[in-house]
Amino acid sequence: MPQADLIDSLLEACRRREVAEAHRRLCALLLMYRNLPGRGAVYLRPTAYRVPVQRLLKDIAGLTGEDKRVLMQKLMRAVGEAVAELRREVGGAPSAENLRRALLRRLLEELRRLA
Amino acid sequence: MTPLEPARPEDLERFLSGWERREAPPPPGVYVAAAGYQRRLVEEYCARYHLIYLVAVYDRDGACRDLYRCCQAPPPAEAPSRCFIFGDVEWREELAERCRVETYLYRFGDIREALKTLLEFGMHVRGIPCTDFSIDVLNATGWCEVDPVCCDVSAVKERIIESAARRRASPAAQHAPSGVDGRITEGAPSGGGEAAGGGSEAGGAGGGGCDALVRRVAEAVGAEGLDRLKSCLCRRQT
Repeated sequence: MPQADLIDSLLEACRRREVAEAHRRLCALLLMYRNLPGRGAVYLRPTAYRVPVQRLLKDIAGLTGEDKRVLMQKLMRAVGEAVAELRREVGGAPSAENLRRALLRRLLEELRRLA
Repeated sequence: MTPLEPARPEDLERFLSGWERREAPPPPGVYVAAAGYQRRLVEEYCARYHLIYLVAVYDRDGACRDLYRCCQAPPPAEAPSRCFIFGDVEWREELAERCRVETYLYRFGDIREALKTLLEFGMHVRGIPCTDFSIDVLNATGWCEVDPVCCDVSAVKERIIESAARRRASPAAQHAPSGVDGRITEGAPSGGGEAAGGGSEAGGAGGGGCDALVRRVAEAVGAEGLDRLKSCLCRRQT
C-alpha cells in the first residue's frame, strides 16, 4: 500500500475521539510520521510534535477545553515514549531517511499488534 | 529510497553467492521498491561506498546467454519486464560520474521467485520496510497474505475504530480500576488502554463474526448488553 494512503487513512481514524484516546501510541506514531522533515539531520525531540498534536485535537469534534488538555497530555506522553525509543535506535540526530524507516518499522509493528 | 549505510559484507556474500557480478550500472528494468532520490545523501554515500544493484532476470526457457544484454531485449508476453531491479537508488546517468557501481545478475525461471528473492534481500539484508515495495510486487510474491498490514490497512482501521467505540460504550471500561471517569481511567497506565483494546480485538477476530455481533448488540441493547457480551468473550478467551 502506498505509504501516503496508509498514513492518511489511519490518521483519519485518529480524528475520532475514542480512537485517539484508546490508541494513543498508534496516533502518536502516525503524527510523527506525517510531520517528518523532508531531508537533512533531524533533532529528535518530543516538543517538535506539540503543534501537530494540537492540530489533531482541533480536528476532533466535541472536545471541551478540559478534554483537549487531558488528551493532549496523553498523546504527548505517547510521543515522548516513541521519541525515547527512536533515540535509542537511531541516535539523537538521525538523518530524515533513517528516522523515516525506523518510524515506519514501529508503525508497522504497532499495526501488526492491533491486527 | 535512498542509501543510508552499506549492507554488511558477510550478508552480501552469503546472499549473492552464485550471482553474476558486473562493474556496470544496472540494465533497464522495473524497480521493485519505491525509488526516491535525495541527491545530497546519494553523493555523501557515493563518496564512501559502492552503489549495489540486484537484477533478477526472468528467463523461463533459459535462452538468455548474456543476462545483462537480455534486459535490453523486449519483455516476453507473459511478463511486464524481463529484468527486476532492487537498488538503493534509481540509476541515473549523472551518478556514473560520482559513484562506483556494482550490478549483480541472476537468472530466474519463475517471476514470483525472482521478485521474492529481491523482496527478501530488501527487507532482510537492507532493512527496508515492506511498504517501500511496490504493491504489485507484494501481491505477486504473496507477501500480502503473509503480512497483510504491508498491503492494506482498511481491516485494521476498522478494528481499531470498532474496539475504540466498544471501549467507550462499555461501562466496565469506563469504571475500571480507580473508579473515576472512564476518560481519565483509560489513560491512567500509559499503554494500558491500548493493551485492553488489543485484547478485545483479539476476541473479536478469533470469534468469527463477533465484531458484527458486538455492533448489533450495541445497537439493540446498548451498553448493558454490550457489557454482558464482553464478559462472555472474556470467558471464552480464558
